[in-house]
Amino acid sequence: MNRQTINPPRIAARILEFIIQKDIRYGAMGDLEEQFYGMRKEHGAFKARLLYWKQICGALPYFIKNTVLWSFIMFKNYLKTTFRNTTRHRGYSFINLAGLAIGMACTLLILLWVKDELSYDRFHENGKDIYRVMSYGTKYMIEGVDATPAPLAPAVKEEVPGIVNYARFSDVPKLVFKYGDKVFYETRGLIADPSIFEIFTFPFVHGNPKTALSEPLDIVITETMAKKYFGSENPVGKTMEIEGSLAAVKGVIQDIPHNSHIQFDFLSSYDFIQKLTSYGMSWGSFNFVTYLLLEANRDIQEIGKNITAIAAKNNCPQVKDGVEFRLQPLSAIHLDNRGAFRNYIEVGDRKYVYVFSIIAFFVLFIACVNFMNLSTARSTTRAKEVGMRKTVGASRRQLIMQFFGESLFLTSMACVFALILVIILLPAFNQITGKLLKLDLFDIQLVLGLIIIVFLTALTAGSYPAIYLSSFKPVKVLKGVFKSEGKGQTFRRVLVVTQFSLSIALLIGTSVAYNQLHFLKHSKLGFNTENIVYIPVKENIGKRYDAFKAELLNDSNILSVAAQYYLFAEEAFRSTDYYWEGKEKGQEADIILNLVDYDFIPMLDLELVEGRNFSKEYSTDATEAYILNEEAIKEMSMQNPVGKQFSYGKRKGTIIGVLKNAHFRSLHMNIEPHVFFFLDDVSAATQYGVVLIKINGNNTEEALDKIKGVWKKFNPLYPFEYHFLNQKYDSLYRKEQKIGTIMNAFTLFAIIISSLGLFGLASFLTEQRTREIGIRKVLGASESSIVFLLSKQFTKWVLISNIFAWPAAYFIMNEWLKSFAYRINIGIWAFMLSGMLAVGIAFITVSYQAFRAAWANPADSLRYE
Amino acid sequence: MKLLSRIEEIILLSIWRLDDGAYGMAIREEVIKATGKKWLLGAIYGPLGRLHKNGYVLTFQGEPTPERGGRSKVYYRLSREGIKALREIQRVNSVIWNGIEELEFKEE
Repeated sequence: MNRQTINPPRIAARILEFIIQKDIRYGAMGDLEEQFYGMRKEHGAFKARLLYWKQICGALPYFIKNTVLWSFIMFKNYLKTTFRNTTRHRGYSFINLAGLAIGMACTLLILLWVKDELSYDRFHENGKDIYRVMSYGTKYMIEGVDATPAPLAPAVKEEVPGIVNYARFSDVPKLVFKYGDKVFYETRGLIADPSIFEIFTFPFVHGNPKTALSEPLDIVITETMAKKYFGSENPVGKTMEIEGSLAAVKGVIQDIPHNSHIQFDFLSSYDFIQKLTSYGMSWGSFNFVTYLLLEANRDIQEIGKNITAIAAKNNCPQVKDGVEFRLQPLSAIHLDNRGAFRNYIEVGDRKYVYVFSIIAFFVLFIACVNFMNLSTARSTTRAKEVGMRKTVGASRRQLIMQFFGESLFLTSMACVFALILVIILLPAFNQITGKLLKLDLFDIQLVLGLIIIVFLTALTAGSYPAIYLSSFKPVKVLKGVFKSEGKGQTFRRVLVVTQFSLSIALLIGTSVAYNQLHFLKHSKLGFNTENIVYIPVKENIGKRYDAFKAELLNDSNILSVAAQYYLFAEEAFRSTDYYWEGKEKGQEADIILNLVDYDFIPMLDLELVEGRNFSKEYSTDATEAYILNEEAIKEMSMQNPVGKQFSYGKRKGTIIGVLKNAHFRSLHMNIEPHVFFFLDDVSAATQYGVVLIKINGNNTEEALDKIKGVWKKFNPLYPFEYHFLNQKYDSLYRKEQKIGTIMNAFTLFAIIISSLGLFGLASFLTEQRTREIGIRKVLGASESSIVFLLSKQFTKWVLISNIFAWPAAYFIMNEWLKSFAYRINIGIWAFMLSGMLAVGIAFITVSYQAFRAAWANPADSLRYE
Repeated sequence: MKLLSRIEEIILLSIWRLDDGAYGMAIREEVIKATGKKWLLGAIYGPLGRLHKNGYVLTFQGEPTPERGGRSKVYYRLSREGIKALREIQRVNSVIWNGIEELEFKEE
């Protein structure tokens, strides 16, 4: 009965099972257990256990001698063999090491990058219950946009069960802050409900999060900003001046972690919005981003439906037109590029995380292929060793372990070099990606990732050679009739073709991406952006605009001056509040509106297809005239628009001109409907407004000096700041440019590694045919025919690679181009060029060896033996 | 042929004596009986494993029993080589013991 309860000690049994020699294990374990029960019956459980434990001591010496000692001796031998092989064939070892090191460095960099991209917004304590409300089905952002109307959040918190709290966000225009004699422009501002601190985790250094934003003019700033204005003083309770109005600093928070999608330097209360004029607060104005804190484990789809229902109940016009709301979890926001245009949202792109991971994997795989190719091609040099080992009793398993161990050794070495490479490349990589990545070798996740990469690489690179090399028959090998023909050769061809297919595909991808970027930068926007400088409408510029303008125009280097309510490259104010002659019931038009003055259209060389520009000769222009673009006319399906009635809200008027369509916004988007009317009072534009100044391109310096001088004269307080319009438009494609640079680097690496591998393979195979070449030469073959003979086969494989690379590259790049509303057609020449480049590189690599072989004196090659 | 060591000789003879019942525990009992000393199982299995590796003994399995944790007994039997080795050691023994009747310490 006791038998079930008192058994031999389990740990001891495990140890014994491990150390007892294999051929007697089964019987001995049984005997020991029998003995244990016998002992227990006679002397009790304790003695039985003690005896059982004692058995380990008995078995240990044998185990040490036969297993540990011998494996140590063999391990030493393997190490020695590996070391000798590595040092004897330095060239091949270098190719393998360099390839693997570069491949692993690429993988590591991408690993760091991906890890950083995925680390966003994980620091919020309520993180998993925070959601952003997205609107789907809006006319120009059909795939969803984060804009929601202001009254939505309070209404849904009241009526939808499961919503704990909400915070509404809106971005803030560039503002001038002043404290004492310190005056700066602050661009990273955010307006939010005070509940932001209850939902998100932004720890306070000074101040009380509960009361920090209780008054309309309270602000909270980050530590960095606090230092900038207040130095070592405690800013809480101090008053700052924001564009003339006073604000009380009520709190200082820790700097926002770089891996937060919400980025800001200062935070104003939501009540502050009441003070700002341009914010529509109705159900029809989608001006805010709404974040909700839910109770745990709520069905977010159902809540989304409820939110849509509440908006419909409140007569939200967009919802009546089919817009619906859905919830998006916090963790998904950073990699969703749909909020890219908001200045407080730091976005990445899920697509590029995938693309880069795949490319890094390709580069590493290409390096693995080198290892496989060179090891199997050079199998003859190891064949005798395998034969000997087998003859003296090595099992196949031992041999596989040996060769696998060799690849592991080499990969580990490569890993060390890769780490060094990463340390060298990281600053440049950070500059390109705009990140602050660090190589932290004490980071468990990273080290674990590194170990996995090393093992996977060793496994990929080493498994085939290990199986192949260990399969040799000792009799054949030692007799000396062995040749590495047949299967190995076909396999190598397949590998080379795979390698070059990947490289060529990357080349094509890079060249298509380059062309698209070139196209974006140089395609005609439909208006002129050259030699145009813009400055913000700040301090006294708005109030004294006419004088400012006149003063600037005094200088011959300043050609024209125009004011604009906001810059298209930064913002888009939309509305549906329009009426026009012939508008049918139920017809709506979502048109972007902007206010400009007389000189705007001529300065940008905008073309009027019909009608005229705003003019001083018509006194009614300032209050009644509208100029629309072709897209807006199309949107309203209007015939003969000039002279027809049009109104925005209560501003009744007529259409005086039609502009030709132009790309005012990013080329990612289609041309949208636009309406312009006259900016009569420039001082109304102090938030987003800009003054565009066209200067003489030959005297840029003088013109800028002049502008600065006039600015100083009008604005004693605010710092001078200017930008070039064309640079602003270029910056819209900065992300693509970064991606392009990284792609270029990876493609370069892939090509280098492939060529290295091909070089190694070619030199080995040429070396093997030295005597054949000698005989051919003796029999009268010309040098050129020999070069041709040797180069032919490799070049052929690379040519074949094109067949696989072209369709794959076409498919992938076509998908990528779809993210641009305006894109190039993929021309055949990108493929031809990439293919030819790859063939060229392969030919040069191989022919170096071929030439050397062909010009060698046949006497030298035939003499040996 | 290499001569058997003493313990190998004793084990092989024990196996021969035990006939069909020669498994680890029984062999140990037999060795203890013959030598009058305590032998750990491990001490038996060391040489036994060697003998098996050198082909002096063959093994076959019996029925599984509960007191062995469900394992079968592993029985040992002498192989042809084993018998030959024993004969050899017997011959050597008889030669070197030949003519020795009374073995006593002689005091000068």
